[in-house]
Amino acid sequence: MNQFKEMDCERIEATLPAFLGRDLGAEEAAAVAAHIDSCDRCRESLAAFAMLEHTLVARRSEVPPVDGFLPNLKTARVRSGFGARCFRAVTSIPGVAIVLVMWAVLLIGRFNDRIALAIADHTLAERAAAFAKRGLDAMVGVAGGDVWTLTAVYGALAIGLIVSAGALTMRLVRD
Amino acid sequence: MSNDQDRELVARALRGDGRAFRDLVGRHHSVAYAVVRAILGHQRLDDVDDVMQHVYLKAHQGLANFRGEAKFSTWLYQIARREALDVVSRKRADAVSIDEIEIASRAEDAPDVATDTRDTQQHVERAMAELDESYRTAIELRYMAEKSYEEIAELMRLPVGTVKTYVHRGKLELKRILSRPAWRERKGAMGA
Repeated sequence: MNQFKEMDCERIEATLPAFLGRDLGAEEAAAVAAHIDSCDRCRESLAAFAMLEHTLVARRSEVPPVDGFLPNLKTARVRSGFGARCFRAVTSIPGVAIVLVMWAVLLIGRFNDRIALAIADHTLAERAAAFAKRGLDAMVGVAGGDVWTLTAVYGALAIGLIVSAGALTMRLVRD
Repeated sequence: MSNDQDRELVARALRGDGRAFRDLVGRHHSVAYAVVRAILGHQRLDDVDDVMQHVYLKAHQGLANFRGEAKFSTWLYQIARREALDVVSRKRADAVSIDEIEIASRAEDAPDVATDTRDTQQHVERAMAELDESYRTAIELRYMAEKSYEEIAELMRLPVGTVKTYVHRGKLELKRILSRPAWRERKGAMGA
């Protein structure tokens, strides 16, 4: 008889969380309620579950306000659309490398004579200078060929270099 | 209605309205917080704040990718879950040593008297750490985030019946853990 009672209590205890949460069907809930009325052990169990439920509910107060976790929206912009893709491209390592190569071509092309004289290995230096000169000529040709356009190209590349290097540094530091 | 409000807030946030973003995540903050707490558990409470900041940063940066096919809460839940799991996997080696310390302290260093609700909450918190992660997530969403079984089922992508089972079994397990002799000693101390 005691063994049956023990089994009964174990079965009833397993249903107590659902009983407390009103998740049992009417018939089963009535059977559990009847058992609890006549069983001290299960009544204690129910009280323990109710206490646990109360403690779990009280933990709601532990949720801190959202404001403490929000990013600085002035610096963290939403990355979307064409502008964001351009920004990511410019601030990527290949983006910075391309700008640096273009700068090298411009500078070597512009000062090719002086560079050739300054380097002992004239053949290599002349080859590099000639290559850069062709690159510069091509860039100037594409840009229209006058001195103002060339100045604009230098200016744009200077700004590009500063922005790319600065933004890349910020990304590396932040990540 | 709630989804429409979310969509409206998403659109405003994408136009650069910071207040709208705050309102948007504020509406679902408890879900994100509950899932991060559930995954990080009691041992990594110090990481919760960092993870939450990452969650909202990622949400802000990826807002343009939110298509509105799923609910915003589900989308945010997935980000929070991913971020928390990422921290857990990165710190797995550390966690082992922390767990060992935790177990040792349980055995040897039971607190003298636990008299207030805060202590009881801490006991439950520590017991929660021993639960299966699915049970813990379901319980945190149910109680900490105050979500219905249906909402939890949608977030966790599980049938409602499974969610109910997780919550009920989780509570049974919690009671079993709290009934161990070490926990009962503390309860006795409370009554003394």
